[in-house]
Amino acid sequence: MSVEHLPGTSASAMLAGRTGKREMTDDAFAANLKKLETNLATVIRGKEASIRLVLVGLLADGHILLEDVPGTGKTTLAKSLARSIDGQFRRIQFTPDLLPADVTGSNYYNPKEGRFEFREGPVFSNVLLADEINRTSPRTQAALLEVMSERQVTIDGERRAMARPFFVIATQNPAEFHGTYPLPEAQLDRFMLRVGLGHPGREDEVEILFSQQERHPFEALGAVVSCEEVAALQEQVRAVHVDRSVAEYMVRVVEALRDDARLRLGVSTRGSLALFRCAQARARMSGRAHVLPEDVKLLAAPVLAHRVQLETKARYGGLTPAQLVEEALGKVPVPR
Amino acid sequence: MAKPAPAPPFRPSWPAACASLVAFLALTLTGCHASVTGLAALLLLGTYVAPWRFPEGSWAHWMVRVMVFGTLIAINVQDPSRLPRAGVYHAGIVSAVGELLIAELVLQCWRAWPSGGPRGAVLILLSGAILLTACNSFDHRTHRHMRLLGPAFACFSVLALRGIRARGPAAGAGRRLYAWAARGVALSLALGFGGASVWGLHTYRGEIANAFRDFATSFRARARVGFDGNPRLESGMSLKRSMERVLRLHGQPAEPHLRGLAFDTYALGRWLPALTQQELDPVPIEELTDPRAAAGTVTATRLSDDLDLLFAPLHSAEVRPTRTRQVQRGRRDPGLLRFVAPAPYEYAFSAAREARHQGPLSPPLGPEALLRCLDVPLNVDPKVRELAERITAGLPDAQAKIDAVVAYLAAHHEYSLELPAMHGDPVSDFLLHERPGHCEFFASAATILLRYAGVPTRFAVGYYAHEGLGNGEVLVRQQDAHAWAESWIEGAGWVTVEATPPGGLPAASAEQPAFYRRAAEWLYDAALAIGDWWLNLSWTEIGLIAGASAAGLIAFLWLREVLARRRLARPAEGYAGPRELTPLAARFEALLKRAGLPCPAHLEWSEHLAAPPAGSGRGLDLDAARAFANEYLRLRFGPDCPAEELERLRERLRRLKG
Repeated sequence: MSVEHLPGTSASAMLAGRTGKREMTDDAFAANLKKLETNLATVIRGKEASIRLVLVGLLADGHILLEDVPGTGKTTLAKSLARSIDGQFRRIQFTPDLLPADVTGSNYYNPKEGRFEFREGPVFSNVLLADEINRTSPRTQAALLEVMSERQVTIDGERRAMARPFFVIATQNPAEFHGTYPLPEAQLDRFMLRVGLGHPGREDEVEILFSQQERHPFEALGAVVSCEEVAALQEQVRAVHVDRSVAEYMVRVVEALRDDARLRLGVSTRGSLALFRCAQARARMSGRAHVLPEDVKLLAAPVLAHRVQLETKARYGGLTPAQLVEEALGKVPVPR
Repeated sequence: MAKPAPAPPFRPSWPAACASLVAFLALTLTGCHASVTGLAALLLLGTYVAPWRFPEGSWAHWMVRVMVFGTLIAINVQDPSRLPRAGVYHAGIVSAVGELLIAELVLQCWRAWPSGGPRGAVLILLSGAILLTACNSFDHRTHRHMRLLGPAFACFSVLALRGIRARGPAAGAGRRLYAWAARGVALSLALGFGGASVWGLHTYRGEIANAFRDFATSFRARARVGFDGNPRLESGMSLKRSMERVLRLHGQPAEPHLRGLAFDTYALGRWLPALTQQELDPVPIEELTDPRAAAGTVTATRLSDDLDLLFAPLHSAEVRPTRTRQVQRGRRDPGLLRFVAPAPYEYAFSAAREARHQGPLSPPLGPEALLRCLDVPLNVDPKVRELAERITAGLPDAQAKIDAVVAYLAAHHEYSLELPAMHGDPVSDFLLHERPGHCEFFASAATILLRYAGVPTRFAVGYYAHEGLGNGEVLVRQQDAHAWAESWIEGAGWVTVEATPPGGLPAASAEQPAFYRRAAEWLYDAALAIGDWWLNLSWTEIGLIAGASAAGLIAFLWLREVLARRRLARPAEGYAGPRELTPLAARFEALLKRAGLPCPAHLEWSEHLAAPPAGSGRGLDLDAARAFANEYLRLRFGPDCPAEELERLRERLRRLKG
């Protein structure tokens, strides 16, 4: 859908007039967005929709779970996004023997100084890549709970805040069963979006083959936006107008899922909040200063589907959470 | 693309289910096994709660079909009541076919249908076949129910078929032509059906009224306590009471014994001649009326069609039938009166001014007839004669003997409906072994004892009226059937001899009707009243009622349509937007609907207009509509709504409509 823009009603003008916040022009917003998209597209080909969803998650100040079969480019996408932002990037390769302290950091005794010193774990970064997150035990996975929702860690009673922006991008492979630990519901709920990549089309795959003939395009990838710029983009997103009826529509969709007898676990309020924020991000990325029901419809499945748990009967009956989300969208009337 | 979610299990629409239930009822009335139809009805209704169905394409339903069909055929083959009967020789076969059709219908409801399958039409076809099958075995009594069931079935099937769309060309001018032709045919059918209905109602209103009455009086019980025109003392059985209503008396009768007929000949536990063998003579009504002797009048409404006897107290001063002059009187028992008229039917009887008035029901008998009332057959045990002589020894008159016999029976016998096995002559066995018994035993024993004591006595049967309804009316049910004796006392005439002990009288031993029975009876009476009201309508009134009903129906359908349109046009509840935009949205929705593009509630306009169904959207500029939708959405969900942009939006809509 394309929105006709009338003179003098650009999104930034509206936002600036309404919020009085630091103004970033439409052009600057679009330019930064474009830079990110182009940068990612040089590495990940034919996956514009997935890239856009990942950017929605970034602009909505949430965390992303990339889930797909091996070899589809999950880690490459995550690394490329991290490298595109000129911030501190750290990666944790989750393995079965990883411990919580390996993630968050720990106090160790410095005999030279004669006191305990804190050694930061990899979470102290701007972009954290949690690769193969389901290969470690739930005990270690749980180390991420606090930092993902509150953006702080508490070690030996001491609270340590994260730098802003803080963005976790995790990958997992849903096809394997042996040697993996499914993410607990609380952990899944902390990811704003779950994005699948899927196999590229034939043309794109041929392009990929040639593009990596000499070297991986990732090696030439550089940072295109600074941390401050990302924070500014996120701030712009928060100012996007959401009509009360659209918010009500989101809640009705969430309620329809909660009422579904085929679900063991419905969507949390954190889920509604995520839908709200993502819809704002998508609206702003589309050059609008207001959210449309269309944003909610398009984002409902990636934002909500990973937060619900199917009843055993429904699961074995071949249903998927995404189907139930689509059903809920088909039932709830759209505001007009 | 996600796999589409499985469709919800098929559930018949409510009119189709009602039509099927009407067909089941029709088949039940023709004598089909009520347990089969009842179970089928439960299974049919079960589809509304159970989510499971036979999977599509599986053979499971064929296996169940073979099993069910086999069972039904076996039941019908083994049931002796289904053997060919005179007159309705094919009734058994017909109801077996009906039961198979019922089983098929229920199975069809439990199958998973491919979505869009002709499910409603199949149900209506099957239930129509069941109804037609039932029509084949209606006998003279049940065929009248068809006058209610037929129209009910027609109404439900029309409602059920309404939801089924005719197939036709998919798009283009052919579709429009087809739609108009279909409308024309539907209109002609509606007009023809309406005209035929008015004509039918006027022509057959009498029959329809009778059908109401039949419905009201057809609550036949199959229990065994009830009036019996061929009394027989049997042992070793227990009896069940019947709650079927027989008479309603408007007013309290002077005495509770409502006499039907009396028997004078006893033979081995049977009283003869049976009602069917009684010889009857026409009697002029004047012989039954005597206004001079009458005191209070009681009107009786006969509710049961089974018996056309007149039941009235023995000492009534007069008996007056209404609406008929065809009254017959028994030759052996002049107190036996019979009317020839269908129920419900009213007659009146009047109490006499004096207690033992000898009115039309108690004329004196000739010497030969009186002798028959003294005759005791030889197979009654001689010890009974000794017993009778011992009871009445030294008593001076007939009344004293009667009192002694009644007192003896009350002292030595218990009242019971559970009878032990007896041997030989039932009365001898009852008296000599002091057995328990019911009213027929007590009355027979009193009759035989009094005959031995030289008092001419006969055995009378009828009803014992006792169930007051509180509004001055008395109800008589089959369970109030009673037997007593009537003795002839020289100088006084016929008197009633109640030989049953007080604890055994229907007033004490009858069951109280349950509240649901009373409610059902009230409903039947209401149906009866409607039938009477209907019968008395004039041509004009029928026309007015038919017109008013048609107008009401049209108004209802119109109102529903208008409300549905409003609901569609109005933003869903809780989504109220700016007041100035709401009417624009409603008009745009109406515009889409007129163009054959009604937007479903769960779709956005832009989403809906992006890919309109082929052949729709006639006369609508789709691009302009999309532009309007986009601009509307911007104003509707944006932070503000400037007046000049609103005006521009209005202008767009005007152009779109123009």
